[in-house]
Amino acid sequence: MKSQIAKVLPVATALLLASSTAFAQDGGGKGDIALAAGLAIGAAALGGTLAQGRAAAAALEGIARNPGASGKLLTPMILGLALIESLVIFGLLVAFQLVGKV
Amino acid sequence: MTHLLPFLLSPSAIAAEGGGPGYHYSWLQGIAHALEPALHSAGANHDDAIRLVTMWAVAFFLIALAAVGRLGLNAAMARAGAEKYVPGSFGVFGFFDVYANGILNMISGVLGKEDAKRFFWLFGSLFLFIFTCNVLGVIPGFLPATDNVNTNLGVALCVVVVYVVSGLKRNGMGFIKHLAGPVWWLAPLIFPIEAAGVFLIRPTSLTLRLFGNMVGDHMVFGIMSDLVPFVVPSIFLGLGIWVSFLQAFVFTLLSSIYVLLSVAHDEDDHH
Repeated sequence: MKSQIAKVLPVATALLLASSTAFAQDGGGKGDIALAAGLAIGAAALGGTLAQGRAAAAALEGIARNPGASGKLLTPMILGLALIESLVIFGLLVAFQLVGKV
Repeated sequence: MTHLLPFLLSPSAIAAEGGGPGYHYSWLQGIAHALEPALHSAGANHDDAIRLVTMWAVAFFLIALAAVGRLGLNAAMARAGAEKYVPGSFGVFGFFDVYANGILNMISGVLGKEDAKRFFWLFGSLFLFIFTCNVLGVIPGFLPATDNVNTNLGVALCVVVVYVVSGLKRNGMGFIKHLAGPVWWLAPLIFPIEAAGVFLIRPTSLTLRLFGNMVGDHMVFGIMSDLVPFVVPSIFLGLGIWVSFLQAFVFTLLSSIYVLLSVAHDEDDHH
């Protein structure tokens, strides 16, 4: 499954970049900026979801092993989730700035 | 009364267009509007003026609350003696009792009990101020004072000053030497990165994290109430309360970790 995605990904990226230059001939790059804004928040959300999923999974496994430690596991889990989310928020801020320039 | 009807049906539409000329969401914005000429002359634009007035109102309210709590505590202690003091039912100093114990436990986990008591003035007020400013935005008609970068930067710079000054006081030149890294021949490479991290990147990340969360949360609520005007957006109000609490919590905890990193070099091996 992963090798199939690895085969398709370069071709998909090349097609995406080629099509964006076709759009950009009229608006002077506005299509590029809009695409960049969407990609910014999309990639940020993708990475953030994967990371938060791993953090929550590790915390839940710890709670499953030792249910009495759930109170002690909760605080570091919340802190880790919030720190991961802060990077997603930075991507969102970049998207805001780009949407302002469209 | 009819001018309230579009507000009830689609608050985000009015929020999006800035409320129209002279439209006040709330009495607090009315006060901000009245104070605006003085603030304009100081260089603040319309949005900043509202956040400034909200921030002052929150600070004033919290200081008044703390004064009431302190006076009540003094009165209760004078009446019954400090050992026999037991907080009664849900009152102002009961609230401060619970809150102070909660913050002390949270910070003691990071800094140790003695340093937690020493820096308690910072973390206690940080958490309560940021939480109140954030949660004020959940009330329809109010704006969270923290969805402006200036407010957050002010608070973050206070934290930076505290951890730099306390690091210098506690460790002297060791604070600067620790920024140079473990080995001397990597110092020209590591020192700029660490110095930028300590002085620039930490306040920036604290500021932007709080700003992005508040702006994004408010915007999501606005878009949701455009889509479904009736009952569903209230779930996002609950999300707003949770995000407000969490961001205040993360801000305070990160500040305590930064103070820990500045202050706790005594036990390290002397390199």
